[in-house]
Amino acid sequence: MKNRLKVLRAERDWSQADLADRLQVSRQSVNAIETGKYDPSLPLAFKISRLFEMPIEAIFQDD
Amino acid sequence: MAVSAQVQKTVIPLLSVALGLVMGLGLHRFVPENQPLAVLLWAVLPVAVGLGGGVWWWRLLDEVAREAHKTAWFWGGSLGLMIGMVGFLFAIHIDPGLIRRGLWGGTSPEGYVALGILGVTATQLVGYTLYWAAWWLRRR
Repeated sequence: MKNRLKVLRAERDWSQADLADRLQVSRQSVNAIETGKYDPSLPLAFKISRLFEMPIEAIFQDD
Repeated sequence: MAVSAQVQKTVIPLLSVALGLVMGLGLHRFVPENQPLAVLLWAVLPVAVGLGGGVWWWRLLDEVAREAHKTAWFWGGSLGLMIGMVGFLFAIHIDPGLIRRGLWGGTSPEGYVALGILGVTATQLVGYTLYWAAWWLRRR
């Protein structure tokens, strides 16, 4: 699954560690999600969606 | 002083393993023989502490870390056990006297039981650890 996390994070000038702190996950987990190597659960996807104030489908796109 | 989650995630498993080792190795030294209740209490304590520590530790992990552990335990642990069994069968095929000589546990029934437990645990742990490391390496 593709996502726009890296772009959205860059727009806010957040590091992976900043985003990890806000989501209460590890930096390694943010990296795995951002690079599309791990698809987050629905609860985590909703958390990301609330953090960026965007709908889930604007952040994550099916391949 | 609050201990960070990262420190807790590292210290809890180490303390649990250390307690298990101390209690296991100290069984014959500190618990009198023919005292089944004392042996039971001595054995239950590290298991209870380890279980409690395991729940505490698990709650500190995020979902990605949990997925890594679950996948590694199923696939790595199962593969490790299977490879260990095949390796053991191969070893006794090329050296039929291996079992009669008792390997490392001696030739007593207790030695064979201990060797079996150790063999299953060690092969699963090796498989689990390698799979867990590979899982994270693929997601770097």
